[in-house]
Amino acid sequence: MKQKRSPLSILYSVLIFLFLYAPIVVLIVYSFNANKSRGSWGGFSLKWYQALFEDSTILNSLYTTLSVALIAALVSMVMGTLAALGMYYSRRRMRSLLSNLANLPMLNPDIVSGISLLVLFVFLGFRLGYVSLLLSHIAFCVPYVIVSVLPKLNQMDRSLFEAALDLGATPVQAFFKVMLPEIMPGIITGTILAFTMSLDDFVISFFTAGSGVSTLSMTVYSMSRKGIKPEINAISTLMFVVVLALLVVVNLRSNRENKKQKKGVR
Amino acid sequence: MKRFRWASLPFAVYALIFTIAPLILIIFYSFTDQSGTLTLDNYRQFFNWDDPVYLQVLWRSIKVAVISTLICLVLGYPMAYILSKMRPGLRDTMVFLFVLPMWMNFLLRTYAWMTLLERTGLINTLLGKIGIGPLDLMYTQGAVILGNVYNFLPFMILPIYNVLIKIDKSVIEAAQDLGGNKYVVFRKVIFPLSLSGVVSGISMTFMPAVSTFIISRLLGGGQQALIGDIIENQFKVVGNWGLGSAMSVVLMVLILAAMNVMRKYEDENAGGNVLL
Amino acid sequence: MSDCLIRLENIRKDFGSKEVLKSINLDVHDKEFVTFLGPSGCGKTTTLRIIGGFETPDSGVVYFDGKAINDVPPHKRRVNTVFQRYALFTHLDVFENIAFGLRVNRKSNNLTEKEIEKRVLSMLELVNLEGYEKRTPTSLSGGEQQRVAIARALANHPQVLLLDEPLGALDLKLRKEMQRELKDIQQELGITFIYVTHDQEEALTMSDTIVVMNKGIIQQVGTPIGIYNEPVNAFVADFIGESNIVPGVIHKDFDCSFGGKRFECTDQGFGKDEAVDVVIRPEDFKLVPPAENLICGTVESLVFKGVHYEMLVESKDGTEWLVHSTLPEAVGTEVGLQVAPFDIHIMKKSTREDQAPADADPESTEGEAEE
Repeated sequence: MKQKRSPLSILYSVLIFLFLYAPIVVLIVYSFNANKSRGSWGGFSLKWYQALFEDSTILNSLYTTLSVALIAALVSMVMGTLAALGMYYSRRRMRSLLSNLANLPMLNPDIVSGISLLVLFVFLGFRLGYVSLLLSHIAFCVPYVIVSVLPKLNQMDRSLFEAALDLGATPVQAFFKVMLPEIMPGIITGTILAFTMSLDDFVISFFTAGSGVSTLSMTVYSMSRKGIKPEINAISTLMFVVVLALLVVVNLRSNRENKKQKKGVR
Repeated sequence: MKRFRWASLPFAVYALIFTIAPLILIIFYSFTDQSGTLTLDNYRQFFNWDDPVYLQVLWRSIKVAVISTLICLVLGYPMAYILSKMRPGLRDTMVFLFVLPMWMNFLLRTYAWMTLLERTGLINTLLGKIGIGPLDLMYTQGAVILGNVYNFLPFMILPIYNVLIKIDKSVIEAAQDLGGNKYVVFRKVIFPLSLSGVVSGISMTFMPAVSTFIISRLLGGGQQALIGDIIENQFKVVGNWGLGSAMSVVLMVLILAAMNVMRKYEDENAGGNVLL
Repeated sequence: MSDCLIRLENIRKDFGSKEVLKSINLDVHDKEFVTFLGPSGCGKTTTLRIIGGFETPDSGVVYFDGKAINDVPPHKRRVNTVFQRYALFTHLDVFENIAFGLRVNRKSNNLTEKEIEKRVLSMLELVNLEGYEKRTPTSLSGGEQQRVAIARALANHPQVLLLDEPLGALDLKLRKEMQRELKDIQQELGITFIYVTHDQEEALTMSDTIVVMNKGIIQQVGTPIGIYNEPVNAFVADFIGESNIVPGVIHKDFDCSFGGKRFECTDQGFGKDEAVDVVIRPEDFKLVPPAENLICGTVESLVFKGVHYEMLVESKDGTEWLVHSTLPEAVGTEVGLQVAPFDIHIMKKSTREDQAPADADPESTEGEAEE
């Protein structure tokens, strides 16, 4: 059914896009504004970026954010992949129990997850800081790896593992040479997803990091509470670009995967 | 291949400690007072009809979330419909563009609106040029709703879109073949078939909207406190864990109940993997 | 027998409460093309998987070359499998798929890189896929993927190749072509093929020996011609080609009656006046003018089938007879059905259980019940 696009629907799309992107664009433009006040344009300048890289609070929180995201993503990769494998081969009842366990952090409101983790750490007498922050991030990142790997396992031909054994591979060889490469796209997508989620998080970090440690979004929060600072525009722009790059990678990957599969069907 | 079954164990243990145990603790604390004795006082305090401060906040949270969700639905459904009618190549790009802003830290997205809405912000500057204002746009309920709509609109569009593109074209053609005009086909066939997406969209928008505390904090100032704000306040400022936990439990029950009602109408595929 | 390569002795297998195999006994000889034929859920795939080592029988022994191999894991059996949906490794190209078995067995086969390459190329030649080494499995057509799967399974030089409905996913023309090629490959290599299919025509074309199975029981083992001409029971008769199966009585040797008439036949060794099933192939009827000593009826329908016409003839007692003939008779015509004594096949009445409808249990329950 060929549908011609009416001018009305084009106008509508443009308006919605404007609504979604205007604030971001304004933010990015202001990050290059030499004037501190947003009322006027004082010419192109990189001075807010410079200020950013001279601010030790910001640099520290950048380091915290990246290292937490990286470690959380890697730990989630291993734990999530193993969990998905176990679930795939478990009995139906166990599988649905585990998948509920994986869905819970994604369904629960962030604020409840955040304060409940805070309560746990205090209850256990665990000092809030970098470690508690990391443990919390792992807790909400693992499910993203699981939900990315499970579909790959379900798509996989169950005979693949047997085919490898049949050709003389030991079970260990069959796992590393056949099964792992087969689900690798899901593992990579899930890991990037976990990394991005950790990078993006504010609420859970806010409750579990304690006072000494601060992630980038926490720093932005405390800065913005004191009023608007042009440095924040600069950080926003940088974070936007990083996330954009990661997303483009993930999307290109999944598109290629889809194409591959379509070809295979033919 | 039973040998792989043990592989879920690390995750299961981890989730028990860092997902289940914390929730149990919250529930436990909500039934204890400062000294640790069991009590219903926290809930009594929350549901106090004589001095309904907390109930008012809860009511405001629900009201703001419902209004935000409805606006998202009204704005989002036509957009999802337009998207679903596009040719596939363009469609994928457009969907990607809708997903993109969602991935920007939502703190920053909200902050972006601060720079637009404040008294010396872009909107007031432009209005000033044509002789209006400056207006007090910030720190109003409208600003909080705007922030919600802005942040959660894609969560409404995408599930509806996902369902719309899966509707079998021949079903629509059959309806046309049987004599339905465009309007009738939409009302009698397309809309009912897309309801599961609408339901997913509603739950994915309502849930974060009702529990947010940043949007209200940044755009609503102190005046527009929502349930998320007062929970945060109990834990971070007042230190009354019992009451804070009770509020969290109320929020959780509210959301889980809403999800349960919604799930009955939800298509399994609609909400899934909305982010990619 | 001396050249018996695989022997199955009293093999039993349950999946949960479902009895999939009930005491299977079978000898497979060297260089033989054996086909397990039967409807979905008859146990043919399970039998194959037991030989391949992917299932363990609940009781009974599998002998390979005279030695019991029940406890030998699949990767140590000199048996390779072509899987139903090919199970190609999509992350490897065609060359590496075929080389997979050679590489993982490097310690035992001592092949150099050069020898592996030579072996892979000769396998590609065998399946007519020269020049496909660098292609990825997903870029191949179904038929080509099938060939890669066959080449991969043969690269290890197995003594026995197991094929689990390998042609099921191909279209009719390609299937015919592959049937011929598979038969050629089997003869060229001189190894044993064990082939699983539910397609009786495929079984008749390719096999040296057909094993007809139903409900976890071997119904009949024999050559294609033997099974087609002398089915032992109604199930086999019905499964191997279309048949008219009617109740009858054998009065004494060479003398039977069915359809209300008495006929001469070629069977003997039944009890006196024993109730039997009578099988007559539709192509064995000759349409003649009605006569007193013949079964007579009216042509009810006439369908052109390409090579022949298919007619349904209803006799006075309401029985419908399926008749294939190159000469059509118009609907409504009164005809007599003539049949030669050697085309009347007399079979013992089979028990209820053996001839349940063919599509009673889907095959899928077979493979998955163990998960």
